[in-house]
Amino acid sequence: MFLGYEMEPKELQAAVDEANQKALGILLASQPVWTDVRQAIEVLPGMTKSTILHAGPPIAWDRMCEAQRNGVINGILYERLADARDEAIRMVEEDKVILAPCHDYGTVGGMAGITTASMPLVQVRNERTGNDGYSQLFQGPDVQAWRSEDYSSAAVKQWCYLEQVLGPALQGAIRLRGGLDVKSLLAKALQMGDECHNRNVAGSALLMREMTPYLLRAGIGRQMLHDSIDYLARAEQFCLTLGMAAAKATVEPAKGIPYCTIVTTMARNGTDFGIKISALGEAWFTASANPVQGLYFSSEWGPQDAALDMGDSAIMETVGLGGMVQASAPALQQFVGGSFRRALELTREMRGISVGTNRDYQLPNLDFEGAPIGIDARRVVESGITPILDTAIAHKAGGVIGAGQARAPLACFERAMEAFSQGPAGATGSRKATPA
Amino acid sequence: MSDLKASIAAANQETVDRILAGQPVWVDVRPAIEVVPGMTRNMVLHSSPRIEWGRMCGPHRNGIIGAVLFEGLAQTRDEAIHLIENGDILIDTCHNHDSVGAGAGITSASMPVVVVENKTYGNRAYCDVFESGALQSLKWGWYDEKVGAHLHWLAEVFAPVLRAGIECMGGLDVKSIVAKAVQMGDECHNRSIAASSLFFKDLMPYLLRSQVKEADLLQAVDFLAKADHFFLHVTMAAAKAVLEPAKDIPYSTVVTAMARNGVDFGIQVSGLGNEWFTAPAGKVDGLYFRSEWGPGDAALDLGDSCITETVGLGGLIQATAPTVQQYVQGTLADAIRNTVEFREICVSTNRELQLPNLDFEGTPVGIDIRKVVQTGILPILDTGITSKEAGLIGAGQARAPKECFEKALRAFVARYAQA
Repeated sequence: MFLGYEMEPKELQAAVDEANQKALGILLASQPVWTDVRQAIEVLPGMTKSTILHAGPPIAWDRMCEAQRNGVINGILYERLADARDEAIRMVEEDKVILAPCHDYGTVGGMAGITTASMPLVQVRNERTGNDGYSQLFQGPDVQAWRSEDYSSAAVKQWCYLEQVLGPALQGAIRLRGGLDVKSLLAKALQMGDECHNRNVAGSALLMREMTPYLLRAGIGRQMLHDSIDYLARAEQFCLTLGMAAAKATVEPAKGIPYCTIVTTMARNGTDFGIKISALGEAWFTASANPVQGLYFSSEWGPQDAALDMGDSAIMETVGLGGMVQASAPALQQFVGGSFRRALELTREMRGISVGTNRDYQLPNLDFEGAPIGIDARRVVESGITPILDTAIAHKAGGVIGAGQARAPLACFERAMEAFSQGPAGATGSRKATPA
Repeated sequence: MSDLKASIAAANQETVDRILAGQPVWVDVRPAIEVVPGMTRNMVLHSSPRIEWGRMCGPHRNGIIGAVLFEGLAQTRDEAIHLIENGDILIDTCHNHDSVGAGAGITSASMPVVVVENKTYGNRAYCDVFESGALQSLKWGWYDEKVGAHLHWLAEVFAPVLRAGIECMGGLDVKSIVAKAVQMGDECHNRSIAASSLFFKDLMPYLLRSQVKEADLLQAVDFLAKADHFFLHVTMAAAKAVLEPAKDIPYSTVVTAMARNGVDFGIQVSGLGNEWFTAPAGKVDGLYFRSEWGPGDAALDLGDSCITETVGLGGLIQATAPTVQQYVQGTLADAIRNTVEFREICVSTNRELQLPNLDFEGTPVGIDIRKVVQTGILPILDTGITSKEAGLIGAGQARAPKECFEKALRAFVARYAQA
């Protein structure tokens, strides 16, 4: 083990501990503030009109799961880079569009994570460090729309709505408000039964109370105002958008700390599960994504219809929310036939693989103990306990059909620690798509 | 089982069935004078039980004086006191007028009230509209120019906007909001932030479509956006509307009202009609909002808001709101123990209100005076702490005094067992 370091094992462990404490300090000090709504092309470094970003680690077109492939095609149609599906597929196969992970462009995307040039993104600034994180306003067509057998046009229509109505409305409101403290919003939501990944009903309701006075004064047209309010009044997961952008803004400054084994990214693309650890910068370490255990929203759906674990939303667990704090949201146990006791046990288990606790995020059901934060890849490998992720279940072809939980696969942590053991210069993870 | 026991069991079941069958819908917002039965221009209501002027606590006396000034019935405090002592002001309890009132419960003719209709039985109940989160409010017995101006705004600007929104909605199903809120950390007495937020979310699309002046709309929305306790007053009216049809069931030992006026604590029991059984009000244990305040500054337990506990919310389901334990330095284990314990004094379980951290068990409902006396387990009421003069100074919890349950049980025995 750790052949690549010119120091005694004890010395190395001390260096790792010190580095992890440093990263923990950075994560805890984060001050995410929702500052703006911007189009992807305006703000994402390296974004182009013909770039289609997706959730998870890099992946070649031919290994992509069907849901994500459909998402990419829909993204191309939405951007009017092609007029028909066949044409869109041909463009991808002829490398006329760039496929890349959201994460490598400073943003995150829920589920398939499809993010294209015109899409509005929420911008969350980490006021402590000055960097921005972004997330698409990812609410896709609802389950009913999926049944209409024309998911593709429903998705494009929804994206147009976000671009033309909700995005500009929220932009006007948040600018007028002068920003919104995401950390205190999530802290309140955690005391109201949200774990801020699969359950955001409290956060979304609080957010609507925070934003409505500004939406009313933002000088947007009457129709736009009504449409936005109607949307927010129904959108129980809306707060996740802010949570994810805030999480992205939180982890970025904790990257690239020598010797640090804290996980700075977890993301999945429906084929691979990928992680990054601080010391190894932007290198991805991947393993096969797991199936999601959970409840299907209709009796006609079952595991045979489901995509594997997918989406960048695992950024919530990366910052110690979601599955890491199930104790806060016993309601979610109903998806998996669990119990309150199980929720408490899982949160305690997650403490075992985390470096610290976050006093800003207190858990009422654990007598206001802080949430676990800073997943240590070392501890994951040693204990064999992998992070548990709350997540939606996507249909193989696209659309949400259920919700439940999945474990991160151990192999990607093992691969990361193996690369770590090669020494400071030994990062062997990949920034490229794993070949077929 | 003896005949009496069987009669009581059947009556109690009937009582709880009626409570559970209630469908409270918030249908209107109106000035008290327009809707509260028996209300007159020179009447001021307060939280129960009835009490003569000379025995009233500070918040009640000051609150009533404030209402007399607010209504323009007098120009000065002295004049107001003179009118009251002269019998020119009719003073009664909210409960006697199908109403409940938070804190001192001060309700007068032009103040707006929430109107909740129990669709199952057709009866209506009323509660004063949430005044504000300010410590210095009329509901805590505080009255000055600022409070008066705010009350005018509430009556003249806010209430009409709220009414328009509720009308446009076609009424609001209170139970479904409460059921969701109970799964979001509200016990719906000392904590109503989830209910208030969910209500805000439901209301807003309709409010935008109601025909109200934009300037008024903006002011109303700003107020609601900050009002974490707003929905308590709706919950209270709903609780009163649901409990009313459960009254007057012969042989029933189920409590249909609990209320306190800062001097006396009173209960009503279904089989014993509208009679109040009283005992001295208890002290409230809790957290004071400023370091200079302490038990020496506090009034005794007061307010009609324990109508929430009567219907099985608030202190009866502390398990769902561990945050409320922070007022009394309690733990989750304490909160869960309390809730589990209250099953022992209740007749049944409300499956419509589920407690997430008790694996979605229903809430206890139907406090049985026999069980309270037998076990000595006294209902806990989550509540604010009022200054003995006026103003809110803290929050915490109190126990209902055993003596009023004992008195009620003696009266019950006299009426039914010795007949």
